[in-house]
Amino acid sequence: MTLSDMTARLGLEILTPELAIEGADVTRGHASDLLSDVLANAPSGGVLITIQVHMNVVAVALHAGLAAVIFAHGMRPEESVRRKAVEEGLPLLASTESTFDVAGKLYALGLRGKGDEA
Amino acid sequence: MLRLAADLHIHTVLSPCASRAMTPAAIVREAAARGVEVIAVCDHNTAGNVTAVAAAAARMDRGPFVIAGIEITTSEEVHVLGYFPSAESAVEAGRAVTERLPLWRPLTSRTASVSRGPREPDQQIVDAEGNVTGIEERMLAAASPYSLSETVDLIHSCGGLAIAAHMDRRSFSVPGQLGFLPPDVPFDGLEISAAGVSRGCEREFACHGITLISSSDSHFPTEIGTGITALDVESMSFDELALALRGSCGRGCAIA
Repeated sequence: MTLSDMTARLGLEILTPELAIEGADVTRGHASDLLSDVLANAPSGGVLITIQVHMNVVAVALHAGLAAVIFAHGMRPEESVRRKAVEEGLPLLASTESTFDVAGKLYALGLRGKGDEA
Repeated sequence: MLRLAADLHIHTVLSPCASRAMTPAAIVREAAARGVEVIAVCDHNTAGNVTAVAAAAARMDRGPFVIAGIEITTSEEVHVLGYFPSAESAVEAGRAVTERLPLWRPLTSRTASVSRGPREPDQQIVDAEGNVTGIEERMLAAASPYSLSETVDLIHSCGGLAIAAHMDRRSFSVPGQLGFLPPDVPFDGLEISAAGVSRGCEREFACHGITLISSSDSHFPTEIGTGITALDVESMSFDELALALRGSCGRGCAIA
């Protein structure tokens, strides 16, 4: 599904309205708060669900080739992080739901994690 | 100039993960026995026992020089060591951290029957003789709400030196939690664990251009002195440690 479908279906808040989110189909996801794990394991083209709001999340997400970052559990990064994401073209989304629930809903919508066949 | 053997990361009985054998007397005795001339007391998120360890060292004939420190857990769950100019400044910084932690709470009775967790916090505040004078009520194993940058700023604002702990470890390190070392955080040093040094991995961290040190991160007396930084100083004091980390005025330090 596209990021904009995902945003609508899960009621996600768009933290980077400056960026277009219609784009390509997203079929994969990763849930982790350890950025070393994201670097090593997040599937390229997927979305990351996390509560890690440190600035490094932007560079790590880009390095891993991710489509977007979804901050769960009401967590939101600081403005400096948001601006960096806009500069780098990385959409940031936010949910008030837990990482578990967001991941569960995306799984129900057909997304799969690293290594699983979609 | 003196060359002193320093172990700048040692826990006491106050840290929940440390052995009950890590009393002030045991720490300074083991340090002296192993030729460790400078130690830094670094409990998790508190400086509650630094004065007791310093007092125990002062009573010894040729006891180690004690640096007052804290190992702070940032909101990202990174461990950062702070070395402070005095026990007072360490206690002040420690208070700012401890009071923001959640209260310690025991496991629920359902899980307690399965695991062997404690019913009371094993976080002992002691005097120089090792008598328990209080139990810390806050959960020292928890993460503080201070981000990495805020933690380093807090340490610096108290006149301290900030060291990224055990950079080579997978857990609770800057690389482990954050993927890489953010270039804009003004660390005064990067610590490589003793195990990391024996694997020769300090080379991987030289590229940051930040002083490298190694320490034991002792939680048991037998670990004291297993990680050593050699300090080249005129005499021993906090100011000399700061110069040594900076590599100024002919002072220096190196992983031994």
